[in-house]
Amino acid sequence: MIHVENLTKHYGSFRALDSVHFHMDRGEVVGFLGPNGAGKTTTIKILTCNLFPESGTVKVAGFDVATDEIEIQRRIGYLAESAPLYRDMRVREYLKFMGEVRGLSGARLSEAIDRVARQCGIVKYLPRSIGHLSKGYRQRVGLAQALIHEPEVLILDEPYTGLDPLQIIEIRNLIKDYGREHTVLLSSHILSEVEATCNRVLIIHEGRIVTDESAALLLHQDSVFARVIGPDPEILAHFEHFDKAKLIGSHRLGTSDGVEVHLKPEGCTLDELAMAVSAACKARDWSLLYLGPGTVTFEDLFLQFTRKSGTGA
Amino acid sequence: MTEKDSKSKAPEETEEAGVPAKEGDVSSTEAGTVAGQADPEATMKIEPRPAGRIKVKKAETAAHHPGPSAWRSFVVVWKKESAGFFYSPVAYIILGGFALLVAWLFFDQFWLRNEASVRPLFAGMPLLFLMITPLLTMRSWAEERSTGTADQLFSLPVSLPVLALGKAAACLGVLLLALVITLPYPIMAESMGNLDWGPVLGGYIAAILLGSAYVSIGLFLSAMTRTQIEAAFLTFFVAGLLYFIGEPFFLDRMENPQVVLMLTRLGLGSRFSSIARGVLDLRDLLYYVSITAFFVMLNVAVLRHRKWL
Repeated sequence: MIHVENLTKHYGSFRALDSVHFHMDRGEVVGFLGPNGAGKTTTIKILTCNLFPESGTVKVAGFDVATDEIEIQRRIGYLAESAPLYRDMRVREYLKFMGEVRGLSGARLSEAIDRVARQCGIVKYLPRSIGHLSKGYRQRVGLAQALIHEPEVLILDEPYTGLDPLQIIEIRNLIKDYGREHTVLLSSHILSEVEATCNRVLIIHEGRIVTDESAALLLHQDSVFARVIGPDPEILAHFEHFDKAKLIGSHRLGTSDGVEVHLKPEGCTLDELAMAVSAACKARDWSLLYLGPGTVTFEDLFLQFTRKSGTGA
Repeated sequence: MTEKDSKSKAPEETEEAGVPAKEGDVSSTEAGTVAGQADPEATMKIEPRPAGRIKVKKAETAAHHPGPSAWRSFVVVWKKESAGFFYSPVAYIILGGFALLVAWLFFDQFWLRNEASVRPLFAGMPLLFLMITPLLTMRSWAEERSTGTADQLFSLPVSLPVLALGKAAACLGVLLLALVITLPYPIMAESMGNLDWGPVLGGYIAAILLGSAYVSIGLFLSAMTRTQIEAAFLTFFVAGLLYFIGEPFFLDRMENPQVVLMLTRLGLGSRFSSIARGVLDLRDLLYYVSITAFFVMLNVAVLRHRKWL
């Protein structure tokens, strides 16, 4: 459904995308993770034909962005970053325009408006002016317009910003449902959302895809988390080259609060690693304040993967 | 455009070469002939083998993309843009101000002239349009860009020329509405004396032609700028310059007759007055049409170029 090969794009001398490569099939919900400025929006703009690629091949729904712009645009639903909408319009008028422009009319159009209004929970708001809606509802309207023509490919740039937790759950379920029969690419920098919605995660950093793995695999890594008090540099140096584990994240808390380290076992079990950490601290007279199972945060993951590709960055 | 559409439909069949995709295509062409109302039953009748659940679903979704014609897209964009003018009070204020100025132009010395003529009305039109057009065109692209709706707009299956023409048509529509406001004046003049309708008709045609030229300049500059204010001022200056270079008060200071002739031909206003006198010359018509086309093409080129940045 989406096929990107060797995609490169510069803004002036700044390299926004560097040989990006990924592939998505029907029935996949893929999360696109990365810090601001990593290239998420640039990639999305290329997929939606808002920008032309500089080099490389980009195919969406079987069509090449370089030659079949309109054919692609007919088959995608797109929610741009922070849901830009025509604020003067009423919700119904806006959805009507977005439907008509995609070739819906008559009964089919009104059915489609009713359908997406129900799905996105904006039935009550149809007669309201978009400018009067709260951020969360505007986001929903944005999603509704992206779904109105039941596109084969749904591309959502930061769909969760501005939503409250309840709204997030609703929208998440909607996206997951939609992804069963179609293809969904969503960008975010909230890891938990990506985890809950997507079956696959692409992490992008400085214009490169640094990892492309299933969400479950990424997040359920067995790891050990420890907070150690002692001389920071020594502790860090020690765990950096710990023989039983790989350091996947570390954080210096300040002079007296110690260091947090996040370790992934290599060639041993979690328990063995925990024991080894404990023993190491004891031997060097560092105090071990906390030792337990690690929770992966986006920061950790991110560090882990950017380090992997560190030399090039 | 429609030709291109039907051509680009072809890869769809080959790309997704498989039975379900073909079915989808059949149904979509079917849907096109039955006035957009795709009937899933009909699809199944065409298909000799029993269609499974998923296949029917696929056929339905494909029928959802009959691909509106360029004309249809143009109408949709035009409707949306036109409505946009009347959501806010801007259009009403512009039209109200225009109506006041027109009334002043018409009644000023109307009784003194003692003749059934609306000449001063049309003589003032280039300046009046110069004042209101930048206000109409300024937001067209600049606002889309500054609010981010441009990203959404350019992802829709509408080609850039169709978008640009839709916006231009909407702005021109407001100018037409402004001209409709002036209709009572010739009718009034007619009731008071014997009005020569030739120059009146010429005046309206000239106003529409000049209006199109102003609108296309304004839209192009709106696409070039990020804020509405910039767009409005630039339009005022550029369109104003093109207008004033052909005007007597400017040309009177020129000595070289060749330069004067050239500038008169280039000026947006000089041809206006000849059409408004009732002399419809094909060259004048062509002049306005080509100015309009030139700036619409520039507009499209700017939008297209931005996709490469």
